[in-house]
Amino acid sequence: MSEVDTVKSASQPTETPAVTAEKTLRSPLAGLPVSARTRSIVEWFVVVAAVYVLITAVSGIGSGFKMAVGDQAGELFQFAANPFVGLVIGILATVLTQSSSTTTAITVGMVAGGLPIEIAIPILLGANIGTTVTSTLVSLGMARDKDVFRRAFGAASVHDMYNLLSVLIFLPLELMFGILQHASDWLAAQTGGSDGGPVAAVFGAIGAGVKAFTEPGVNVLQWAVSPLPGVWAGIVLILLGVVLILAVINLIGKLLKVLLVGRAERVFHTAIGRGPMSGILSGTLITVMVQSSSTTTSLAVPLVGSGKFSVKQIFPFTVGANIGTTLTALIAAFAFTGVEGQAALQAAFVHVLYNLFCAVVIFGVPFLRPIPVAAAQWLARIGAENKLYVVAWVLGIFLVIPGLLLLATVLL
Amino acid sequence: MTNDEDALNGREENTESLEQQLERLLEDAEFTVASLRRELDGARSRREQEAMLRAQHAEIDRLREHLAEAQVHWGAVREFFEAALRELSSDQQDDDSSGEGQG
Repeated sequence: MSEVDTVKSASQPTETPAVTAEKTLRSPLAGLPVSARTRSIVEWFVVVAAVYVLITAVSGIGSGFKMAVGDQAGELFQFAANPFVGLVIGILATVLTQSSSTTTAITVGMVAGGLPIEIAIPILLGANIGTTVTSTLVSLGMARDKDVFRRAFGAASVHDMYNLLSVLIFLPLELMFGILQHASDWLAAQTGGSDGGPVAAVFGAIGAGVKAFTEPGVNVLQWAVSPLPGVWAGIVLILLGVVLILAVINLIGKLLKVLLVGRAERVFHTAIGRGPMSGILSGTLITVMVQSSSTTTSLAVPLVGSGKFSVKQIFPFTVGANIGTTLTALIAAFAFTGVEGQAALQAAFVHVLYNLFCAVVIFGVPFLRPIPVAAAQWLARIGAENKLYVVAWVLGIFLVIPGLLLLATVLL
Repeated sequence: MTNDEDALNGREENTESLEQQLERLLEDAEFTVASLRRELDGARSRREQEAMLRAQHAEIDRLREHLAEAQVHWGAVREFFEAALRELSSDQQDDDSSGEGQG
């Protein structure tokens, strides 16, 4: 949509169904019989506690993975040595959990537990694609009005297109040159290695402090599964960790939305009309605030659906969401120290570097930048005319194609 | 050269200079029109830009509502898929009826 289109529709009363519903944010702790200020303090405490549980759960996954596979992680995960399988696992896991943070946090825990990084990298790339399903599903709720839906689905699809283009560029480069693996290895050695200098010393001290703090929690988890035989104890510990991560990431997201909505508004107001760099920065900041790229990109859907923002204007914001969400994996990496800590940091840095490289390359190369917007607008145009294209896109990209790829790899 | 010829030449020169003057005036007028048009377009574009920014800021003031809505509504997703299926079956019926018509 052009800027003029945006202005024209801005002057029209094109209220989206989302806006007319007039729902407001509600804290999960809204029922507490205390003053608003006290509730806010309690909410912050709960956020800190939830981050503690998140780190403990990631650490638990690392321990569980070791218990379950021992030193055989490479052999056991041989089926995922094919990078397309790793990519599909990342997509499907994120589609099922609707949270890339959960997938990346679990992957970080598994890498610390012995999963080879070359298997983890495609999973982390797949998480980026899988996370776009949430905003796409949010946009389906605006299908009553064709124009609103065209804009809303365009806003959701621009994230799909950007992430697909990113994988198309970086997966082959990774397979040929191992860019992410080498760059993250170097960075992890500088920040988490035994001879990495002052930065590594600071990171090491933080990691040791976090580990000391979370160790009792991990011990409780290990004690809970101890009646089970070795391998099963490990598997149950992993599952317990996954459930805990899902629950706390959901809780953290809900609480931070309520606690930081005012700041998010200020970030938005500051960024409006200042160009793409500002859009990327605001998307990053807001995602860091709400700890969920799905929330940020889903937020773009009603904003564009209302006609006040264009797909082109919101595109940098969704790119920033990809960068902001990488913080969760970095937090998760502090669950480990020593060699495990360095491996976990490497996995987290893969996610950070990948999203930074994608932003630099796609925004830096002039002919690449318009592709996601143009592709999203085209898909939205045909999707608004015929819903079957939308169904084919959603099922095809997020379920059928990944499923068929996985099946083909298993059968062949 | 007679007086008549002189007068004729003089009139021709006058006409030429008048045409040149008119040409210059027209050029000036066209230049003025073009610059006025540019200024008007610029002012309109600035006004539209300002209106767009105002509308965007107003939309951000409703961020709470948008954040509350920024989640998947499975009922709406189901409705969408059902509507798509209805479109598919009505398309098939149309195809069948047009096939029968041709047959």
